[in-house]
Amino acid sequence: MSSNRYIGAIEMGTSKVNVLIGQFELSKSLHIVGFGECQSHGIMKGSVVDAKRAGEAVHAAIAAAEKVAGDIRMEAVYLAQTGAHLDGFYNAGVSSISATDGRVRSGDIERVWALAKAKNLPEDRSVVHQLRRPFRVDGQIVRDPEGIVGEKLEVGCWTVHGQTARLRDNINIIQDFQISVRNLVVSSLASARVVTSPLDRQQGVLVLDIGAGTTDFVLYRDGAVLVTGVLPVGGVHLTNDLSLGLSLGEGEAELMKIRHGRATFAARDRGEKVWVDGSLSLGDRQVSRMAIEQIITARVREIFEVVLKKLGNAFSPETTGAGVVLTGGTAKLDGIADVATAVFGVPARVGEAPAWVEKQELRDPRHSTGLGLLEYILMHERELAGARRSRSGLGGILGTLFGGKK
Amino acid sequence: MSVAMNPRELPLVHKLPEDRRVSIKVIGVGNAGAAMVGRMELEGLERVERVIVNTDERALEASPLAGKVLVGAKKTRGLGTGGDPELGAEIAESERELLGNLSKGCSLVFVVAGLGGGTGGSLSPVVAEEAARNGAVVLGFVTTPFTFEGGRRAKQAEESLFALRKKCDAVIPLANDALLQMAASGEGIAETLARSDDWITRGVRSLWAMLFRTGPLVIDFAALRAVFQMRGGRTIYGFANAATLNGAVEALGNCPLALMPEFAKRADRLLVNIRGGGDLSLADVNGAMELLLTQFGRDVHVTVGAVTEEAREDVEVVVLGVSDLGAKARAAVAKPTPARQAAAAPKETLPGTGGGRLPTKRARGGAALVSVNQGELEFGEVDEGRGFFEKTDKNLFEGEDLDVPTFLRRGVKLAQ
Repeated sequence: MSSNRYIGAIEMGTSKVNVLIGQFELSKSLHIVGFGECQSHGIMKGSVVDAKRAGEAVHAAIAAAEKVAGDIRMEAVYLAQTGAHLDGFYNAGVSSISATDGRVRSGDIERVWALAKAKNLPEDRSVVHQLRRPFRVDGQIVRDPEGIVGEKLEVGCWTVHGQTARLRDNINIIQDFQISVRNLVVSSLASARVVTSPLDRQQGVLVLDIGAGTTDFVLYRDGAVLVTGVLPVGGVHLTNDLSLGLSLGEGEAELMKIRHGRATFAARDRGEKVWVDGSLSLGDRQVSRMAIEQIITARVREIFEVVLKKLGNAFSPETTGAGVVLTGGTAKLDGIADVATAVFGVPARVGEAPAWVEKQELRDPRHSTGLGLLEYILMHERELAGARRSRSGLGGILGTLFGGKK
Repeated sequence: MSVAMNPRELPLVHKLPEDRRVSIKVIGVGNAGAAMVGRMELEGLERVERVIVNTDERALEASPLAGKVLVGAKKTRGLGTGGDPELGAEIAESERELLGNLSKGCSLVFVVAGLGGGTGGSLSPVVAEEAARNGAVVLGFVTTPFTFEGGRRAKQAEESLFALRKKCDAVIPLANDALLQMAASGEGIAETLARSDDWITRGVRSLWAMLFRTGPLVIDFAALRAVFQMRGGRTIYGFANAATLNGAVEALGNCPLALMPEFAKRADRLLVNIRGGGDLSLADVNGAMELLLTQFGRDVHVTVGAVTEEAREDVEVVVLGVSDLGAKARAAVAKPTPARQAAAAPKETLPGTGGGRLPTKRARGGAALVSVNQGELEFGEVDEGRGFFEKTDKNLFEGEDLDVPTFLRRGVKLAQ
């Protein structure tokens, strides 16, 4: 195996397909060497509806990225997953500690984890991720339970699953270009890695990635994933609402959204109007600025309200000390953090890209998922390398258990 | 009203006079339908008769109309269905013959109802089916509930709409949510709702004028029927008034009905009826055609009627369009010949065309974004009018379709 490896991060979004190529040196560090983006086709609300057109868009993005990287070929890719078909459930495993001295052994750990991981999925669905909740010994969270004395060991598992056919389709689109898919990563998990710190996740944080087609969310508590979810509503809904409400074409509506769209009200004068085209051309017409804001504010607020409902009891302000972090293209709307704060009852902010992302263009919230995939790749590849070297079977298990979140 | 009512006695069932001159009937079904039809201003239109059908006896009694029919008295004792569509469906089946008698001998039947409850939505498909069997062209005008009325009513309305589209030649659904957008500030709910009466009345009056008045372009029943060859597709309905014909056609684009979420954005077949003053000429109509094709697409098949009314000072244009989407795969429904035809006045015809029709070559443009299994695409299942999401699955959450604009579902009245 060469010391330089090229692994790709691909996000097939509703408005754009993103391909980032990372160069791994000795499985220790990662440089972004290629970036390709192509307007997406055949994808609606995060799901592929026209595989042929989606494939063409993906191909274009891959070709662009590989060219930028110096005409290299990627050996494998990690693929972000979103879409309304994704669902999740929580399962817990509990066991009394078997040893007579009351110390937790590896056997106990394996047993409770097996219990928590157990799943009964319908035939047409497959697991995408299984995310481990912290171990508890006698109700107390412990990072590494081995050797701890107690009576009862518990662990929980959040399983993300999706329609097998759709997952297969997504993989096939990539494999049609002779590139293997090494892993599927839930989009929200990828984005969250980039815009939250380990401290945020320890305090409890809710991350919302509001893209064009979907809003992907993940709620962390005690440093681990509590729930994930996908709401198939995003920036395209904002544009569509404007288009229908103001009788605008799609392009015009998009322009109005970018120019005048806000999540909170600013227009003071009910009669204030703005030009649709704005270039003083013949046939240009005006629309009410307040109407634009009414339409957008209603939709943005609803997105947050629906996510809050979907979270149900899982979310409470007391257990979300780090508040809400927003990312994704739609997070650039003025005032959006204020709306989120009002709905969730905890401080909300728009996330920032980490320092290691140097290219200004990539610091845009639109790219959180792609960047997050790269971070995920690095961590995962490191762990694989580490697990191979580790002598202890337990290290191997913990390696795969952690699989992407710390 | 006396408490001890003999259910076998149905005092409100009139033996409707066999008036063979009556050609158009407007049938209001259920509470909302009956109320709307009762309020419609159709005085002075000969050969148009209004009838209301209901399960609620008290509501019937309160109506000022002469033609009233009570159904289902045995099952409900005249107290209405209480919003139960299954009960409504039972009643509809058992009273099918009676419902069919309402439209005997009619050429054009308007079925008017409010969907979401128990009577209107369940009885209207049967009324429509029987009217079609009697040889009439059947047009449905229905309202759908406000989002705030809850998911159950919305679902019931949707199911009724689905059934109606199969039985009517065309159904025009008017969403209550969209009505709010047109409400003036300070306007009460009653006034807002009365707007749908007005819209339906305009449609009825326009079609009446088209059939019973004369002008440069006459459309008879055969031509009217031909517009609705296939059932089940989405519809467009709009109207506008202006000083000139061109002005009216342009104003169609601003017709508030464009906000109706169920409306199609394109049509395959368009019926355009123009009502102008004595000076309306064929040349005017010709000139307006170009504008029309720009608005509705070059590949739409247009049937134009133009009538002149001496007293009229402005020009009114009413359009009724149907799209074949979803119904294309099915063979055209065999129709009986129309009961009677309006006498055609001597008319000018545009060179190269027959009657009032301006046939245009129709190319099937606009490939669907989604290749849908035709077998799944039942009548009216694909939702146009959701804009960008028209060909995708509904986005249901707690009974609401999230793809429909939020401001519309929440009744946010937009600043103009």
